[in-house]
Amino acid sequence: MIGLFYNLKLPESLDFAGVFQRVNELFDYCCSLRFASIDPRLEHYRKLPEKEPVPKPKEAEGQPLYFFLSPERGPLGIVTTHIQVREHEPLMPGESRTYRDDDKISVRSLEAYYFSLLPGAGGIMGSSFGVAKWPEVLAYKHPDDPDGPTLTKELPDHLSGWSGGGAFIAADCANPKHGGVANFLSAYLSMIAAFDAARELGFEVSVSDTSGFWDERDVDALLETLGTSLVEEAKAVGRLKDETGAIICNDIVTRPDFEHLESGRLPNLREVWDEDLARLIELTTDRPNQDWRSSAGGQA
Amino acid sequence: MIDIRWLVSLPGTLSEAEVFERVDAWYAKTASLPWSNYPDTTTVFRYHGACMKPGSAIHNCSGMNDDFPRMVGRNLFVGELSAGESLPHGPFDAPLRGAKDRSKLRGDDKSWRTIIADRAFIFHPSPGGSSHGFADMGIARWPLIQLRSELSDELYERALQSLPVRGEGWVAQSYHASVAPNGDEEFTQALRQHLLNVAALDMALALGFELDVDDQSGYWESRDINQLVAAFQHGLLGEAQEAERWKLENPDITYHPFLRRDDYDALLQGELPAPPEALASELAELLVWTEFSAQ
Repeated sequence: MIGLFYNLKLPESLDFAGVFQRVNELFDYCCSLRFASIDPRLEHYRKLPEKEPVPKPKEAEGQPLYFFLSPERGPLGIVTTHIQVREHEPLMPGESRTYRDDDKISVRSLEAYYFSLLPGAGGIMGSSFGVAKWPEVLAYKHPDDPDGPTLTKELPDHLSGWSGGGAFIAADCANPKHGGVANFLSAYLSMIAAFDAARELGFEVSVSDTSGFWDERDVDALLETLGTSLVEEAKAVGRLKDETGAIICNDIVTRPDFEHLESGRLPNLREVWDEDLARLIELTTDRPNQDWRSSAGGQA
Repeated sequence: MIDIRWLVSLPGTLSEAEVFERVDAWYAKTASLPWSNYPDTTTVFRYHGACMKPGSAIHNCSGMNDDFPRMVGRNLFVGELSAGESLPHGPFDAPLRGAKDRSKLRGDDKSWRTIIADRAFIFHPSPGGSSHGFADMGIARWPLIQLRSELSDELYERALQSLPVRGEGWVAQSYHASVAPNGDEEFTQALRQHLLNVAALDMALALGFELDVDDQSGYWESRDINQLVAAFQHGLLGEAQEAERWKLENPDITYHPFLRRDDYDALLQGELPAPPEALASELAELLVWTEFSAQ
């Protein structure tokens, strides 16, 4: 899987007017990049005191589950987040995960300001940029003992100050029916350029990039990772298909070269890009990451 | 059906942040009113020509199945322009998915086009019950400078008349119509909706917004609850006659919300419906708001 997981932070001392200005500037900058589509509405969310808990969205049968965005809950990572309150023994030997979904409790932020965009055509979900103020302490009932005493738990450090996270899962954008490698690169590099701009605007940006591009800034290596991750995904999906006989709704089976990928052959990712994309590549690769960190530190 | 229309404006000299602050204060103030559903978000609409690729519809990225026509507050940031003759299409004249129906209605009439505000601040409290209109609260700024550069003086003047715009400041109009086709409960609901809107507009006035309110019932000026009730009663009479006319024109169709009323025949005879009994207790709280703010 190839994707970006990110968190933006602003200092706690900043008032909302400062947040408003910075997020607006980030939005304006994003409009100049090559995202597939940008929602022109920025949302200012506030937790209302008397508000009933928001019901879970109805999960319609046959509908894909959107993990990171849902209209009822707002973007996960900005309006809501999940805090783990119970630990489990690993379910299988060797498994690193020590939680199940019901070990988590959802928390709503106190105030948030964010916008959403669709990085590339064919992406399964939008990505949101913004920050939120979180409560310092979570009061909750233990899942094993819903009638018991109210427990408290401090929220993790990354939720201090103004903080908001998001994700972008990129591989589907590289499907030729959505625009192929050019679409993938526009989406991926636009995200990177947006993070760079956020850093310049005074956000503290932390990015976990499964392709390593955020640190290396090497487009060839990024495309190589894309190729191998497509092969891996095709192999896994193909195995699942053969073993279970299920109909797979994964986007990768619609690629014309799916059979090739499944047999382990790397896809042909060499394409000629237009001027705009070439400029975007230049913009994101010419700026070494480290320099940005020091200049952003100076501004803050 | 009683409708209330309002035009909210602020001086064009105010910066975006200042206007946002005012709308935010308005939002916070109206939160104390007993809406049936109060939003936990205010929307800041920043229309950016560059975020639109040619031919693409405004895309709603935060709700996958949401469609543009249902977007909150769309009547505050989408206006319609008509100058009575063919209008050139401009760079900010984006195709809207929601405009399809309207273009069907108007056929090949090229004398109108949509105009999109470049900034808007919107919140959308719901007064509950059945209604027509939106009750969107907020304000917008329109790209009139571009418009002026595209149109001749005469066309510009005429187009302005059709826009929810007076002058070049921050301005937006909205309306809400309370309807009460069936029975006492909805009658009370409709009065409630009307009073909630009036109370919210009073708060805007107190916060320094300029308001131009057109209240069909006259309650905005008189603050007389009896006048409001009477206006609704007469409104029901008018609607009964409308329904009767509709019935005669469409003899094959038997459904109309009004035809199911028990007192339909009485209404046709011109008999005023009785005001709802629960009125006093239900509306006492709201009356306090609107009477207090009128002073």
